[in-house]
Amino acid sequence: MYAITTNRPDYCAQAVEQLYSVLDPEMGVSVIDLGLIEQIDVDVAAQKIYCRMTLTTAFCPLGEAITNRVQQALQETFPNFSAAVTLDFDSRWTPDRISEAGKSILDR
Amino acid sequence: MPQSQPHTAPLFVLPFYGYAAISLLVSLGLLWWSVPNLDGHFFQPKLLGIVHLMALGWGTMMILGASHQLLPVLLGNALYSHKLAMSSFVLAALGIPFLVVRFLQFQMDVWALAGAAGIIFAIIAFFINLLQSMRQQPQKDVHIWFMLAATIWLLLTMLLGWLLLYNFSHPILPNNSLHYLSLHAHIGLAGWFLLLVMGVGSRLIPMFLIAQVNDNKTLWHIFIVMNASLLLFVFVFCLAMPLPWLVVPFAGIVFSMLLFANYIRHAYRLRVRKSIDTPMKLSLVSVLLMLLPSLLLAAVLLLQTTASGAAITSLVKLYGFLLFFGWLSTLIIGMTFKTLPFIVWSQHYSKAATTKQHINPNDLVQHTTVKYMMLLYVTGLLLFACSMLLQILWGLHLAAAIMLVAGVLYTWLVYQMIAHQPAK
Repeated sequence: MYAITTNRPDYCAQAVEQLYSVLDPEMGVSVIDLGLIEQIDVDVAAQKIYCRMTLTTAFCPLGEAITNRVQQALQETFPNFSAAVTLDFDSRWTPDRISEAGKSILDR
Repeated sequence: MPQSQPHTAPLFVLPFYGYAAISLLVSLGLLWWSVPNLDGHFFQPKLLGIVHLMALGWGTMMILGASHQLLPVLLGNALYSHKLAMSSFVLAALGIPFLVVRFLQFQMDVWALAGAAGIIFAIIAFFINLLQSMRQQPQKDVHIWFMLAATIWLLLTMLLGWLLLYNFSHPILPNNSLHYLSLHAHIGLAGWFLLLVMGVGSRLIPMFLIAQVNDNKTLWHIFIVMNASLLLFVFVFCLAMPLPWLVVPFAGIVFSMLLFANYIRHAYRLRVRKSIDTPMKLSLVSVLLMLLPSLLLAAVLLLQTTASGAAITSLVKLYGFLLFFGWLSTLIIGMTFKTLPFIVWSQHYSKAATTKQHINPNDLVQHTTVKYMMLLYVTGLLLFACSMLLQILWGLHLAAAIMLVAGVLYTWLVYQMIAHQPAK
């Protein structure tokens, strides 16, 4: 799995578990296995979750759907928190980020 | 709401797809209807009509539509203007029938000129949209330069075409219009279609295969060799240099094609996605089909002085057929079922923010029908090419009918997708 940076590993682990259910609609692989999620930070006092992610292609027509689903998944996991998802293309996504589980799905 | 990236609204892209599908169907119908006339010279009303409907109504409309969707992906910023995109569609959609119908009637009159002018303005609208979109992005990668150069070649092709039309009724050029046909055809085929397919294909094919090819150097080589070869071709043609001079630009273009084919082969080998679906297979086949017309053109150049006029004409017709109905059409048909589902899906489902949403772009494609349609098309294509070569009339009739059935299926599949509505 692509290393996700976080200030709260406990919350992050819960979020990751839920984000395995968010699939890229074209590839059928989860955003976690694709290595799209880069950072999950939690501000417990303010009850906010910040998620920084990327897409396989900037301006991908499916991008909006994927980010919407990530936000929804985080919101479902932490109903008392507000989730903010931001896109970041500073480091370009490459297929190297795909996990072994993701590769085996694409292999089928 | 999460931060979103504006991509081109489907409403401005789908009309291009719908128009292109109808154009392919009509072209295949015209091909079937024209079989008895195929043994004559290539400069005849039906062939002129078919070639222009294929090049403009089918190939160019589909590419313009897909380009409006792809520009943000290639550039990393939004399309400059949706209004210009729609203007481009309306102008071309109105201009193409005028031009094609007048060609079919062999009337190079003011209506044909008006139709051609409409298409020129459509391309200018696209060109402005492209330039303005590019201005917003300081970092431009190689693919976008391919698109820009290809659009310039398309504009030159159309301007020359308009001049040739005008020259029929009001001679203004040193020679008659027939003399300039090969210049008009080849800057359009190599400058517009081939250059654009190489530029966009080198981005899209690795993207769909999930392959990382870090070889921009090869793409720049292709870009430079292609454009230099095209400029040299124009130079050789305009200066009426001896035939052997044509070998140099021809070799340059073939060299570029081989570099491109090798680039795609490299992407194929590096791909993470091992299983390849039918549309992608057809797109990969089209890369190979790209080389077939080059062999025929080489034969035409080699046999120019020794073979009979009828044999050369026959080879030229086969060359044109394999370019439009073979390479270009197989590529576009394949890519339709890779790009259109995304566009339709994003129209209906991108706002549906639920992890329990089970409809995916791939679910919008009727895979079995697509498979049979492609099988029919390729069978018809091969039978037609063989029958042309061996001059078997019944083979041509049968092949054209098979391709027409494939065209009906293709159009039906495209319209099924465009008309898709989410279940209530």
